[in-house]
Amino acid sequence: MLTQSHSGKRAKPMKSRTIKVDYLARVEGEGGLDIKIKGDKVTSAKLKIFEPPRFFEAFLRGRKFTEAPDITARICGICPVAYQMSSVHAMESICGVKVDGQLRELRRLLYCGEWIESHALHIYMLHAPDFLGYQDAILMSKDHPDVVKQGLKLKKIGNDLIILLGGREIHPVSVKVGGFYKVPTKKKLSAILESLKWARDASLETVRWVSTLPFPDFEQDYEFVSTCHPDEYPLIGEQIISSKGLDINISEFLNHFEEEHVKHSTSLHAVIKERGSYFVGPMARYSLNFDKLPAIAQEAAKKAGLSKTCNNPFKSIIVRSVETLFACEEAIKIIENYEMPDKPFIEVAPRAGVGYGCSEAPRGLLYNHYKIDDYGVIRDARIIPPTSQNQKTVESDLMAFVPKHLDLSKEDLTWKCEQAVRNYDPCISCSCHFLKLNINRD
Amino acid sequence: MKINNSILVIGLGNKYRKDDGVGLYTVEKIKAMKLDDVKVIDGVSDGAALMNIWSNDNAVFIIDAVISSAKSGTVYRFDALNETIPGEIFTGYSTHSISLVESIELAKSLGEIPDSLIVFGIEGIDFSAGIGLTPEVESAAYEVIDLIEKEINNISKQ
Repeated sequence: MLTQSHSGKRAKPMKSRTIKVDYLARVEGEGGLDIKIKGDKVTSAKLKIFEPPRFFEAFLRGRKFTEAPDITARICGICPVAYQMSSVHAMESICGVKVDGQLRELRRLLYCGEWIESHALHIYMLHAPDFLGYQDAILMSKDHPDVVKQGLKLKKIGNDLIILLGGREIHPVSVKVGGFYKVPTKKKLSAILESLKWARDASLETVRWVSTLPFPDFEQDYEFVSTCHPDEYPLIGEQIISSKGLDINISEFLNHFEEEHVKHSTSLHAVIKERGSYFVGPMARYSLNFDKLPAIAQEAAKKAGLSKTCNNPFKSIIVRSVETLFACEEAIKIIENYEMPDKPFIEVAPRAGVGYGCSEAPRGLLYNHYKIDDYGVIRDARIIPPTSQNQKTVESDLMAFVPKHLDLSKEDLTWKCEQAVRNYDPCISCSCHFLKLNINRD
Repeated sequence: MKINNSILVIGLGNKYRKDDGVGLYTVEKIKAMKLDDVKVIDGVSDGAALMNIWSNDNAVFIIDAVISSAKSGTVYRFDALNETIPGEIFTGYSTHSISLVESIELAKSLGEIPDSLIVFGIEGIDFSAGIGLTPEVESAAYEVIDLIEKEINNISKQ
């Protein structure tokens, strides 16, 4: 069959093509891509997630509410703090406790450490090689050793901050419902200030450097979703907003969002009930909360050519760098204003109820929802991680991106598609959860 | 190339996944030997941190479990400076970060590699949940301890 090409200049056979990536590289966890093209149209784009479901929600049922931060931290080695923060806030909301003041600031400081290490890893080791044409950071390091060294040093400072507050960099052990098991002295905390000041300078330089990378001309009309706070760039939030008018308390999340199962993914796809796919993560936070960024970050973003919103997902590397700068600046501010609390935690007595916790993992909004009984035993748990929320948007990006780049060789187009996935810094291991495991036995 | 007496032995793995804990078991025994000028680290959770860990050391030994289809308890010795380590046989200790072999290759590329870096792999067979090594793997751990002790003695004589 012959068909007219979109340019109308010459007729071309309507070819069918498939772009297939069995194992996506430079993403956390196991996933692949399957894109089907007919002529100049993409007929399907599937982000295939085949990592087995993790069943963490089932593990949580029957455990004490105080165990949630340590169990959920195990979901991810890159963003354990996000799981700890969302779960402790949910438990505290059930028990009628509000953790505020310096304890809340220390939680935000711990979160800054996670943003720094996670963002630095993705910017330098996972995403930058795409823009510079290297298969991986090892090959990139041969030509750009100083860039890679800077990224590794930045990541280490984020890790060091987590160790300082959390005892160790992966799955920190200090977070508890009500606060911390132990909090640092001002002197101990101040010891990392010099490193953080270096990290702030390095982040500023990172914003400048990534802004010089080549970006495809590609923008989409996204519905951005993030938490928000009246005075802060969001790390921990009680309100959720979107670029299409959503403004809800986190307890209303399931009234507006739902998860659905698709055959090609072990991660449930999340959608906004009324409108479908949406976008969580750095670009959403940035576009919805630009005015809450500190002046240094706003200025750096402007110099890098960003406006107050960013709709080009390939530029997420710039936004991630701006957020790294924010995290360094915020961490310095928290440490400089720190006064050691009298007690590292508030006593939390269990009471039966349902509660919600939302915080901003490096990859985006992380929703937690629990039901506990009078004895503090978890009866129900629901965890919706950012990567599962972004899956549909990744696929819609591919549907829109591929037709514009059919002139590329198969190899180059495949690479660009992988890059389009990596724009979201997906954490596939985090995303693999199922609501129910039904086993029917005769 | 001059090697001084700054020696570091690193054990990797998860002791709660049976044979995966052989690297940790080995360094625990080496630590108990209290060898002069030998530091021991049991467990590194982030491959990217290895470069910082060995930044002040001249000779580094790393011990980890491997899966290569060889007979359980088989011992591999790789000279990381002079050969490419087959990354696929080393059991990943995290899907979330930089692997052992990637971190070694990155360190080599950045010139942040010690003067000597020897990686021992011990073939495991049982990686199920639980504590304790299978007998072949435990005896392989002692074989590696002997090998490392000999290599440390040779370094000390230089």
